[in-house]
Amino acid sequence: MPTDNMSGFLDGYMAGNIAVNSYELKAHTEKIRDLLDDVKGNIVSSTIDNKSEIVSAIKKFEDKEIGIESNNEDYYNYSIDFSEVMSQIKKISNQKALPTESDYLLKRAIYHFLNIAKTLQDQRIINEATKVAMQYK
Amino acid sequence: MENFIWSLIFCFLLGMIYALAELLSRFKNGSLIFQIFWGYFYIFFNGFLSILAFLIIKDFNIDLENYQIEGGKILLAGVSAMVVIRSWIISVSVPNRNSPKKGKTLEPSLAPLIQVFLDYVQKEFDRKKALVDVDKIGPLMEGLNFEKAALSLPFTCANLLITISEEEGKFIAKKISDLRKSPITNSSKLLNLGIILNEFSGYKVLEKVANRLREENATHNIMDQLNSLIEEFKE
Repeated sequence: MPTDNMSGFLDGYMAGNIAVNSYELKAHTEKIRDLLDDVKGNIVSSTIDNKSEIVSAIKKFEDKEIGIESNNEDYYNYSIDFSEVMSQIKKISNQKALPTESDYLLKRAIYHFLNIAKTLQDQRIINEATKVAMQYK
Repeated sequence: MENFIWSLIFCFLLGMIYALAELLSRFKNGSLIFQIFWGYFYIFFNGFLSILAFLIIKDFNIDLENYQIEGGKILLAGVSAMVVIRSWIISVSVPNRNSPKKGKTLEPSLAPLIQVFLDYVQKEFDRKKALVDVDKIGPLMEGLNFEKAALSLPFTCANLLITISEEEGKFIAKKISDLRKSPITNSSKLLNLGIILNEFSGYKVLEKVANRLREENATHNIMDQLNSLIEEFKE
């Protein structure tokens, strides 16, 4: 019973946290989407090898539905997807063909992602955010 | 005669138990209720009201349908005296012995008086609780990091408790989120965090988990790392 009870409390705690901060979370996710969209534009206009693979990965991430109705698991899956996309971009980010502006855009996206992790207070998401940030540090 | 006295005693006790249950459900802290004079007064007052209700039922020969036996009258007087007497709406019909159809109606007038006592007990309780909070919770939370405490204390307290619910989880999350955004100092945030958690966990559980967190502080640096990364990626 304590486990069920804890699970109920946790669900409520997470749901409450998301509900209270839903507009803030929405603003961060929209910023991330815009920033990655700009990065995608830079990649498309560059001469990077195999860019279509990364562009489709970013597009797939952009199509992910995340918003006011999303729950904690949705945000966790979102963090995994973000982490994967950022890892893929990292592989090509050192190529000189990619405009230097992209580095700034990616760091801004990470900043917003770190804020999502801070707001949600979920250790799994914090770990993902920290992992991504450390790659780009 | 002896039976009548025992009836009054049972009625009195039942009324007191009912009042105690009412106070517990309202204030959720048994030990503090007994530290306030008006807490005792309220309980005893309810005992006397139950006796009064019992005498009304007995002497005015009120039609009670299923409660005609003596035990039934005691039970009714003990548990429902407050309901009947405090209510603004419910009236007690007293049949006229000569003409039952033209019975009198008693309009209870004790309601505002009882509400005054209840409000007073509540205010006294709040003041007493505020003193306990500041005196005990303040020093307990001192020296902790708010972000770390807000991350781990609610979960640890919830894990230790059996009766904490999903709704309470939502409530605590909202309170802590508001606290995080408020422009007050770290120590004030910690005090308020302690007050919020104390409502649900009680002081002893909070004390244990806060002390444990203090011990873990040296190694528990996940929020520090996250905050420093946010600063780093800000511009």
